[in-house]
Amino acid sequence: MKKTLLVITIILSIFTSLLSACAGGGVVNNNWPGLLVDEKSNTAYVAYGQHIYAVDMNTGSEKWRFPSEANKQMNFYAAPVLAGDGQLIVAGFNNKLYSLNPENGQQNWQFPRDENQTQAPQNSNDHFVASVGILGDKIYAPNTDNNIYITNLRGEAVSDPIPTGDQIWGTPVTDGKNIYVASMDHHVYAIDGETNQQAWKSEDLGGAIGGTPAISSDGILYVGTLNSELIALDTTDGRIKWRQSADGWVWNGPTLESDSIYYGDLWGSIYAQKSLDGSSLWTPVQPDSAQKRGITDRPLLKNGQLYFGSESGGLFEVNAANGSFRSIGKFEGSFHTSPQLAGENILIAIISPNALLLALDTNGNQRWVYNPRK
Amino acid sequence: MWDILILNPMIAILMGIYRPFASLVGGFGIAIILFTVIMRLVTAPLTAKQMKSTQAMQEFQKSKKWQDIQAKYKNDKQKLQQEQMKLYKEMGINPFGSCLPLLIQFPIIIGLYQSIIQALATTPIKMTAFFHHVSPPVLTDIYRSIYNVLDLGQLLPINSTFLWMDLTQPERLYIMGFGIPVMAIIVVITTYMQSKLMTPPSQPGDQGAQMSQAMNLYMPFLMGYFALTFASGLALYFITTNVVSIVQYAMMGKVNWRNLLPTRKVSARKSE
Repeated sequence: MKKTLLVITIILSIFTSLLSACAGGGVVNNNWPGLLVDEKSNTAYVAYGQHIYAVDMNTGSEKWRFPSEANKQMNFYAAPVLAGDGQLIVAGFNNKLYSLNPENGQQNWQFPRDENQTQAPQNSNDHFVASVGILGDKIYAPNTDNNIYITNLRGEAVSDPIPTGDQIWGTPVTDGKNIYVASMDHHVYAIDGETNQQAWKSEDLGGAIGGTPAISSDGILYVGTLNSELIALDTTDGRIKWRQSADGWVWNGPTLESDSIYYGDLWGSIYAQKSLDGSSLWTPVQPDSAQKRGITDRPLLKNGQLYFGSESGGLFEVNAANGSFRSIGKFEGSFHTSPQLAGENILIAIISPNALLLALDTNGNQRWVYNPRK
Repeated sequence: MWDILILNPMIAILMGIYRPFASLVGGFGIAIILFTVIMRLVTAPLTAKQMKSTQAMQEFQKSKKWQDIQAKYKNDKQKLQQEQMKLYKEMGINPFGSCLPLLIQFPIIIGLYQSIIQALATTPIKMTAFFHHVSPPVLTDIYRSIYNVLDLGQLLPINSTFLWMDLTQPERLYIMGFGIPVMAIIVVITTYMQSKLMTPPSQPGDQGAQMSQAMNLYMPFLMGYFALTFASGLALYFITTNVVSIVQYAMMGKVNWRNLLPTRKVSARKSE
């Protein structure tokens, strides 16, 4: 009988672990890290897992973390956002918004304040995947329950949420007049910043929009789609100005520089196009040869060079003028978030067991590494 | 290799099945059911072979010749094994005949629900992982042609609503404020029924039968636990596969309906 029990235990253990692994049970990363660089306070804020980390950009040392002790009910992946009044607004994967003091990480308020609050997310299975957008004294928080929640800077709902047709994973962007939100329902929504009413809704763009659009000062909104396209929309009415095909899904909108745009796709190709009509400035290049080499976020542009991180952990420098490229580093882990400039350093968040944030020079030499203590 | 041989083709099949139902609410639930039924039909010859081998093995266990050999060589295990192999040969039995088809089916079963989970990507990181299955680095052009025909851009994101469920979330049916895990309960019942109905009559003291009985008891609860805690898309798959298995075995005339009756009463009557 003992032998029988032993055999059963072994069989069930193998079966359990196989099913758990396949079903995605256990501890998993729900998303990639979000990064905000604040040169004024010399602090980088990283959202990843159970904490928001404030990191000194000179030394790579931790200033504070929120919450100070890990809490399984709290998860963060969206990049924190600094409001005009200085508070740090954090969208939690646990379906709550938090306002923090950027100096010390102390919480000011949370939204919703309690479970009974109306005009707030109701279903605990939903999430704030994307960061919030801020226009004036209002916070626009897109949610996976398809709604955009609108609060004031004290975290009080100021109007009914704006519904879309599907989940929202991209951060809203603004031109100072409207807020633009891309939804997985294939549409972009413009919300009037004064009335909080929908100003327009684009036509079906042919694919879901997973990332954050980019907006230019001359009124063009650039949107990447899961139909492998980059589409330029007129911000006045949402009309399509032009669309260009890519090799793979285009996750985020491009980096803008005068009359040029630069972006990557999940196939690992990098594009440079004219913002006017989407025509190519140079033939797309593919600097990474790894199998999973997707580029999910926009590049950093510095001194005429574009800096991209790829899913394979490769970091590349591409000449914005002609597309020539070189590898400047290969790291254990994967990059999903855009590299950002911090003084002379490039900061980039990484999913890796050895690091969360890397500070590098433009040759890929490591200045410091931040890996949060467990 | 796993992705190339199993997962990517399965995801393509699943998306192909989903395509005609994409505009329907609950379309992906229908696709999961059809996908499971089709995969079970594809592996039906293996199931039949496995069943045949299991039956042959049972007959072997019951045979007088084997029982005599067991008695004769009970103190000489090496000789017993040699004689056993000889008898297998004589009776035309492949000792791995019942395991091999099961082993071949196992990756298909794992791949089946992996593909369901992958397709129901609920966050950006999972969706980007899904991209590598629909646009893999191997056979890229073939997959691109397939997904062009399917118009993948229009298929995503998958509508995960099916009946009262969100297939990406663990299921509860709320009645008067109480969340009842209906799918988990059905999984427990159908898994129990499936294992009981397919358990052949056993000999007293048969160690294999003891193990089967214990598995019959543990397995439904284990599957129920998975249905309770993981995405309800998996629970839908479990239920479909249980029901299809019962139907398949019933059509082969192998279902032992008496096993559903409580056995204690029978033995109590016997002892009277």
